[in-house]
Amino acid sequence: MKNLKMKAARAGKDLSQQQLADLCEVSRQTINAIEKGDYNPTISLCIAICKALDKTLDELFWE
Amino acid sequence: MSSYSLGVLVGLAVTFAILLISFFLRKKYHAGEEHYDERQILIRGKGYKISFMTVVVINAFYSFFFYGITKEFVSPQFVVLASAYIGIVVYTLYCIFNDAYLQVGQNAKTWIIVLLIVTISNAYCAIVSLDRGFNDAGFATSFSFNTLFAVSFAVVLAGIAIKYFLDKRGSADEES
Repeated sequence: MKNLKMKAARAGKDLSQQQLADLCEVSRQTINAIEKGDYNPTISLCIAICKALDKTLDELFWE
Repeated sequence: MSSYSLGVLVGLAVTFAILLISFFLRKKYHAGEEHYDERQILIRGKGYKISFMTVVVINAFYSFFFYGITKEFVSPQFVVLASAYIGIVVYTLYCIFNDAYLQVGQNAKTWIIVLLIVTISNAYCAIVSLDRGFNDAGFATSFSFNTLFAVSFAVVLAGIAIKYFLDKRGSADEES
């Protein structure tokens, strides 16, 4: 299932996938896979993404 | 000890020393800059499984069906190495097409240049030793090994090129 909340939060901060990937120290393809719902990140990566986007885990990853 | 053996030993020792020093220097000055992320580690683990099964299947097929009919032309020594190389190529291609070949922050150009040098040098050596054939009294020849290495690295290079064009064609995918 696509993670549209994360995509919207990223767009809201005016970040590209590459910029978000650099902030979280992962590859651009990993961010793309998470947004497309092809990959379920670990909790540590979820936290890194939340910190980079100034959001909580609930806001980005809770359905 | 002959001068040839001494030369080989000194060459190996110098190569090993250079590799060791560059490894420690890299570890000291570039620690943490390049790494695989969690998704890439998972993909690489799956790639290992697939390549392991590939090698097992190739060896089983060779020993059951092809050893008898090919032993006159291809030495078993070559087949053992070739099956391992096929496994490595399968693993590498799997990683390339799942974006898990290069580490985060790694420069693709460096690897492409290294692969090109290895492919071209092995292809050259194979062409030079063309007259030796694939099998010499039951042993694999330098021609067969050079051909194997050149083809393996050329396939990896082709995989990188195909992936590059696929990514370029679907680059709209990034911000979609």
